[in-house]
Amino acid sequence: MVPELRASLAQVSALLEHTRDSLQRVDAILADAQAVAGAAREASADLGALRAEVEANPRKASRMIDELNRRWPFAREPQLKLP
Amino acid sequence: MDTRLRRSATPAAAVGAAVLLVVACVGRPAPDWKSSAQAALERAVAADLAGEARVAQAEYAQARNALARTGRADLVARAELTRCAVRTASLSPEACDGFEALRADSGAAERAYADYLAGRATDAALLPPQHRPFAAPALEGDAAAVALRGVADPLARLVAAGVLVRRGATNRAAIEVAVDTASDQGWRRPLLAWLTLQRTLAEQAGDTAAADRLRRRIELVAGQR
Repeated sequence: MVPELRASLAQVSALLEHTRDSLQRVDAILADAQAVAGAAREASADLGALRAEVEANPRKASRMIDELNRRWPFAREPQLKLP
Repeated sequence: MDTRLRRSATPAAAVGAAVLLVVACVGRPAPDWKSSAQAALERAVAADLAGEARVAQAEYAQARNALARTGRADLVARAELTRCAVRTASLSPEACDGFEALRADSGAAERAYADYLAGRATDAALLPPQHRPFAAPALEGDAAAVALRGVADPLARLVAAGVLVRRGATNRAAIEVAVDTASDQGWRRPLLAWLTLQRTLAEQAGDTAAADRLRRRIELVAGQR
């Protein structure tokens, strides 16, 4: 259990690092777009791909946290109770 | 040295054994769809109540998607009903279209809950226990406010209060319970709805001072002050 948790936490850290890196690239492109109006069209195209990349990382992190919750020894049995 | 070693090894062994015992007692983890759907639905409800509509929509879609993987309409219906219940708690007039599309394939309990949310007569025995008293058509006014105070879960309390409004069985005391509940929890969306209702009633009653106080409170919640 413990090595499994450690490995998952390492993966989460790696994902967060990757997300930060992607966001920094988005920032750089936005700065370019502001500085040079002519580059805005090109920057928008790049942003589309980058956005997909940025969105994928939190999804992966969320999946991993779900997985951890699922394997956690004290996890409660999920129930879809109506409020 | 030897004794010290033995002393320190004994608690460590006990802890290790306890951990092993816990892990052994846990059994198999719940299937992936179940925990993902539950987690997404909880996030959706939290976002919806906080007034973050876009996040809520994405999370509801994720929950529905996870449940649809089972091909079970009753489970998908539960997610749709949860969404409708949160809308009812926020006095939203929208119909529960997501559930109606699944009505034919859903269970009796789900159909009863949908009818209850819509303010229609239903079999109280099929409802979750906290809602059974509110299915009685005779319950209204001050008695309804007292019954609302007796509901332990704040979301269920707001849902029941919303149903009372749909049935025209509410009064000022009941509305105040709803306002206090939403305010205690910091649930922006229902709080705005209930404060607006309270303000409308104050205006109708010609109570300008109360209406002004409520207008200022609404502005504060909505971030306009």
